[in-house]
Amino acid sequence: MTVYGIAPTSDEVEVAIFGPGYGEAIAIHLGEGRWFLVDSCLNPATKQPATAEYLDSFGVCATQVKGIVASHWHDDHVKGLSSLVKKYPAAEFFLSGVFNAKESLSFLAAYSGQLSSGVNGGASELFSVISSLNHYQMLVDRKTVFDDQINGHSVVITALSPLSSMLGQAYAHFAQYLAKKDGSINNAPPAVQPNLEAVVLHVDLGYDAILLGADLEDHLTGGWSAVVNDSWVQKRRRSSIYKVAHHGSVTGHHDDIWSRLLSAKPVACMTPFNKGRVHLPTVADVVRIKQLASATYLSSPAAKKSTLNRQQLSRLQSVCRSVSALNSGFGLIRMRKKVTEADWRVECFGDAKLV
Amino acid sequence: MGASLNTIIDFNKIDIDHTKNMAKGIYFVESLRAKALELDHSASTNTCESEVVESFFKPRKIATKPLPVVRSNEIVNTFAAPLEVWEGTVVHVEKDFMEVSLDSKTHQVAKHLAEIDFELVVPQDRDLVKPGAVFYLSFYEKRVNGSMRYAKELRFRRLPSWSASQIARINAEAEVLLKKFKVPPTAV
Repeated sequence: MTVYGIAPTSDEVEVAIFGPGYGEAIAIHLGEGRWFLVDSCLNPATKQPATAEYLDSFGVCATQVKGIVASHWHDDHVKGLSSLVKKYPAAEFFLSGVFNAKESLSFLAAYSGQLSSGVNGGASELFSVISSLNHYQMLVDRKTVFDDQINGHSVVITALSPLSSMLGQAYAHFAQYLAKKDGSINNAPPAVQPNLEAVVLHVDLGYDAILLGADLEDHLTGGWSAVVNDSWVQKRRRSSIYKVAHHGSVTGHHDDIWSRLLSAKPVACMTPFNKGRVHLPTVADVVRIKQLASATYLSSPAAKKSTLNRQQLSRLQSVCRSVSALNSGFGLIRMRKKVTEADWRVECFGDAKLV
Repeated sequence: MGASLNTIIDFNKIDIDHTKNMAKGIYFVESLRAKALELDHSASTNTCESEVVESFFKPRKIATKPLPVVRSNEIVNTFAAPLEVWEGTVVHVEKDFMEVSLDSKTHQVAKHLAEIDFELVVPQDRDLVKPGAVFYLSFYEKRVNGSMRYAKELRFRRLPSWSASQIARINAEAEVLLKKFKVPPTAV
């Protein structure tokens, strides 16, 4: 088990970004022992939610977690979320505003696994979460997630997306996969492309800021282009830490994120995404981001050595063109800073590293 | 209640004992005949048992002539033991192969990614090859006429379409979830 050292001090802000080969989770210490969680992933070694294990290692009480945000419903961002919500009952739960419609909630109910056996994934996990809660909050652009005085500073967390104007498009997408009595086979539904439903968060600490890009992609009408062109967004405090959107992919890139929302040469952090033929970030992505950031970190660089024994591997190879293990690495990028400090102190745990 | 060998047998209802008997080399039809006689006897004294008989010999259509005795060595002398079963999910479909993720149901190993040619997919399952479709890839050891062989099978899960009651339940659950949410304040 990874040793994470000592907890942040009361006057220290911390951003902890966890990432196995497939998944992402973020824990933020806002100060004075108050924590905020974004998304959830499992530690591959223990199969437990990474953020819960981390907070347990510091002895953080359940009441210290003030909020949990599910940036979107894809299973690489919500695995173990139901356990997190159960463990921190005092935390307010937020999810993307695209679920503020009967179409999208019917979609979650249909693919929850209760009626369609074997269909697992993000829809199932998110359905489990919101079914267990008495109330939850939906986020669209400009909605306030957290607003309080901490260590003498006004700390405000605001959603920059999804844009209200593109919600109709999201509802239409979900409507395509609604349960119909038409004799069709009920497979797991594909994820919407591009991802315009993700919740981007801006954390204003009162003296610095953090931008959490979620998996928002660019699109002429609804994605990053619309976010960066919003004059209200442009007036937000510029961020010195950027959790790079959509695992560093070129589809999650927009030049104006770097020129309008971030300070010069911020610290960039990424989690990988490995599924099928898609491996993010690519070499080109890393090169592009390195040119824009002062330092670029990746939570778990691709390590795809198969763990199968020789017999198992040869059996699979007898029927498959190619076989590779899903990236089973796991790492944590941790950044800490006190009000009086100019720069973030970055530490890497597990497989995380500076790229 | 009579169970006749003239009845077409629903092979899905055959229990495991019969499968074992086949492996032991007992003629398939002979074992069915014995089972029929056994169930026939109990049917005369017990109503519940008669239901068992009915489900075992679910009549579909009556053959006009008695079925011939099958003496297939493949059926009679085959025994199979599973070595490994993978649950696969189709991630992406290309022209002649599919990209899949594989999760072992028999061993504690990491998930794997693979590309599988359509040649391995039986024709009856071809229509199911779509992203999100679930299949089972089984490797097993098969004894045929005394000699051991490795064998494999890839079968897709075929789900039924939604029923009217399921759709009603989904809509009701969506209504309940929709009532739970509240809107946070908007920044100005």
